Amino acid sequence: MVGIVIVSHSKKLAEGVKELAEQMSQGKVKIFAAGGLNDEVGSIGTDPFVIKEAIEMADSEDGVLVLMDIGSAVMNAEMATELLSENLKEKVLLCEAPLVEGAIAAAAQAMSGFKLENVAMEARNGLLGKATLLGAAPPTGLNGHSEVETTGREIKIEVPNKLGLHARPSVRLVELVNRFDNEVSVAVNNGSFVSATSISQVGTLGAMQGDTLVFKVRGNQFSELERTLKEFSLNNFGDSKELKTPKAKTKKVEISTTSNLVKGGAILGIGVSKGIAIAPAKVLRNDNITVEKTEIVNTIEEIGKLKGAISKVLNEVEAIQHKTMVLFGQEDAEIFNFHLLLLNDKDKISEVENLIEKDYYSAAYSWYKVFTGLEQKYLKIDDIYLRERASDVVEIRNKVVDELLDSKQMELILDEPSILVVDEIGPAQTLSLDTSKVLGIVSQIGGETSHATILARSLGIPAITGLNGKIDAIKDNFLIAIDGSTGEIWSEKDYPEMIVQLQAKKEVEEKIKKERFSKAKLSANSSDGETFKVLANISSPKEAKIAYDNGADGIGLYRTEFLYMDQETPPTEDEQYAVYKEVCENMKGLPITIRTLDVGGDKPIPYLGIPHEDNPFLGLRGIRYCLQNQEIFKTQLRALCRISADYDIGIMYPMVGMVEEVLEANAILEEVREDLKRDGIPFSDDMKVGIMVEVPSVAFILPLLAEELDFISIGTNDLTQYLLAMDRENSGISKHYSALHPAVLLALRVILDEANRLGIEVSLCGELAMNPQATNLLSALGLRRYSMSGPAIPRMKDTIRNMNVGQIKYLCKKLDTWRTLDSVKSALNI
Amino acid sequence: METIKQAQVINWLEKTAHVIGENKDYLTKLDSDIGDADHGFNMERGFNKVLEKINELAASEDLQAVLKNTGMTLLSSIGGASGPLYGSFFLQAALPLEGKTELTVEDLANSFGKGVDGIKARGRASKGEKTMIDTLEPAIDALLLSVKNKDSIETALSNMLAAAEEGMKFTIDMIATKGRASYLGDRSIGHQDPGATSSFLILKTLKESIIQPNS
Repeated sequence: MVGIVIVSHSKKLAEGVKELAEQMSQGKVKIFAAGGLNDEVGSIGTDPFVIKEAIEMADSEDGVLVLMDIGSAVMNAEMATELLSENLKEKVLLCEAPLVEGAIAAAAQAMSGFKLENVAMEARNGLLGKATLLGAAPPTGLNGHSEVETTGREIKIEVPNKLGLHARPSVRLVELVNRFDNEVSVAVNNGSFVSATSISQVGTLGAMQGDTLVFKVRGNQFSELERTLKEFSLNNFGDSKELKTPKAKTKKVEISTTSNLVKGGAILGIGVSKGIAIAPAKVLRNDNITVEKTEIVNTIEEIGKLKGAISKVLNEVEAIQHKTMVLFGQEDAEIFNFHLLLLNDKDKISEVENLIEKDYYSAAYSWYKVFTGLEQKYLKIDDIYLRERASDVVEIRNKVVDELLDSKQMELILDEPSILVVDEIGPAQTLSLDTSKVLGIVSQIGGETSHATILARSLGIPAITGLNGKIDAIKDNFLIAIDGSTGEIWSEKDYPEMIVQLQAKKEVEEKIKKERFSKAKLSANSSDGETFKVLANISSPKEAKIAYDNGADGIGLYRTEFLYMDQETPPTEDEQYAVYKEVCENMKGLPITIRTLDVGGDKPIPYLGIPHEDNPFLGLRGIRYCLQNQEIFKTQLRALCRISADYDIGIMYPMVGMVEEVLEANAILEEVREDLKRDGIPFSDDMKVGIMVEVPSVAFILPLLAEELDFISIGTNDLTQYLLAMDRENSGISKHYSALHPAVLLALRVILDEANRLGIEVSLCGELAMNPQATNLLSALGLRRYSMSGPAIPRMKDTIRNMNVGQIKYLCKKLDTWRTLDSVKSALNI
Repeated sequence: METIKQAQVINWLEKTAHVIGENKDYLTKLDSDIGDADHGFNMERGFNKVLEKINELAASEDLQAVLKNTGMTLLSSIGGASGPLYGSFFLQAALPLEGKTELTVEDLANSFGKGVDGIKARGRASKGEKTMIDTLEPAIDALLLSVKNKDSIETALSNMLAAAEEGMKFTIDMIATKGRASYLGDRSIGHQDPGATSSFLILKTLKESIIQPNS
């Protein structure tokens, strides 16, 4: 695939153009920015060595296209080419195309696997779309619409999506057309035909919703194309739409297909999670879990078993969902809503119970039969998004069967670092993988929007799917290399040179990643010199490591609940001490804020004995639980105090709403310290104490709390929900649920002002902290400490470095003029 | 004096950095009339980098290494179009100097001749387009004439500089057809070209570092 280099005098411009082009190519094309000088501030100018390096990184078998702005950019691009190795020099094409339009067109074309010359031509034609839209004559010499064939077999499809054939669907359309060996032209309604294989030309069509696209096809793969285009249309041209499943993910709805091509010796699938992995294949064929048709006698007992198994799996999925929420955020966690829906589906369950009662089938067999039927139904749905839900059905089917039979058919266990080769993998299975052992995933069945794929991307595991029968070619224990961005799988036995080549590519990718990391480790200062701290939210030592690698300036929120989950009894003081210590070690001395146990509400842990409550979110949660269960609280405080002897930690209490709670908690802390002193165990008197700000009352009582606290941390998710008295999981009312609601922003202003006035350190650790558009506003309001998931940190630091706090102060005043959520969103361009 | 010694070349480069620094505002002023007002700043940045490396340059084994390293340094530090242009000048000028630690007039003419060819190839410009070439090419022609006439180094450098100055002044009446100034078309007439001026300053400094004012 052709690589692209963007050269500009301005570092910002080059990176901006890269970003635009990457949006087009969905990260499939290697695009590198070479802007500005290689000094600390990235001065305006061009540097041939910077360009040379970018070309080397963008290097690929198909060559590199270099686009540049003017003057020295041209000369230095030439200079850079002369500095390259002879071998690479021949593969580089300096292209005079307009920078922005050219980059976007080139990225789209490169993605479809075209050759360098062709990509360059598309870049040059990049102006066509704009010229057509503005009614100007196409620039002379550009490839206009004139010589397009208008004969051939016809396919008509209607434009289904609201926005019409805008940029993304155009790119996707061209990509689909180019998959097949046809000559294809396309027109809107009765308009003139353009080449359907060219993004610049398809981009000129400007078809609106309801328009008819008329394709003329000459070639042998007419029906394949027809089927693909129909599918594309059914899929709403890849745009999101009101899906029939609740809380459907809309972000990644893309067409997917299976591929059984073999390209130059590679086994070719669909690359769905990028990255390269090289390791022995571990083939675990799991398409057919088997359930014997057994008959039973005691139907009541059997139904009891069924209910028990369903409820166990429900608990398990809920725990997985919560873990996902913590690790990757709400959107990924919603993946499991569909699992939960299936487990709660009364119709299906009574169908299963009927089989047990009427036919005396075992619970396992009945469940298996009903859910296999359901899987078949999903597989027949036209809508690709829904069709990919079949794999979720299978995972739930198998999980309950495993539970009923006490079998381990779903478990994927690897002994050594390998590439997992399976027929199909579910999201829960993906999440349970040991990431130190699973270096890559190859699956026979799956798609770009399948839940396992989404999670593989979140976990950063390279993945290839859609192997459609070719999976048999991968033999157990053979060394293979997979490239998640191209979908290629190479076996060392047949193509040792490809393994070497991919190893080199992998090293380059790792180098780039490392460079990004090394920049992330520098402190984040705004362009006018304000110092910021970008901290991480974590829940395990492993995440602390990830946070450190991503350049976290410390931990802003360490959730300790996970220590208490999946256990029969609370963790002991020593167990806790060991885990906290590992977190501290992994952060190499950076400050760490540890939240004391936060249970209740949506975080049930059976042995803690939290009673059933009518209104758990206003019930025994957070610090309230700990104050009523002092033994559990004291054990944790003892472990924390011991840690404080050697490491820079602060502790914070969750769900505080009044002064009494802090006084009481601090009194218990004092008792623990007395005990330790008596036992001669060292601890630090300087350990900072703070609270989470989640209960709105805190906004009014900060001055009263100030004496007791060293810091506060705002949890925007709960604060928003309590302030607006709105359950965000309740889709009937959650339309106005947003941390950006004026009511929440005004409360944040009060909290930040008060905290800064009182000299209490303040940070923010909710999802709002990860929203780059909100960063300006929050910084203008005086926030300097942000806490978020580790992988989000490098981007946040970039955002901060590009920010001028002096210049955004005006946003504070603006805040008074925003009356509704919509006005905030439009002002912040969200 | 028969040859220019390596130490004198180093001295020239060092002095050039100071001269460019002193004339930064002047060059910027010229560039603000017909360009993007960055020439003085860019040149200063470039030659300051050369200055930072002056000890390393002084320790080079031959003049080829000196000019090559100077060219590479300018390439990556000037930033504007002068970077690849002066970079090419020095890189190309270095080519004929392998193993040389001193220069005759002929060596100098060969070396600078190559250097100017480098600028012309890189910028795709020729004499009369209101660029540094308008200073440099007459200067090289004068050097070549001195080679033919077997002039002393002093005479050769004096003639070279006179031709360079004349060439620089010719740029006042020219229309720019290359570089940022070309966007101004006719309006570029009446202004002396900043690139031609910096070239003149570099050559002037060469003469002054070889010929002491009292001789």
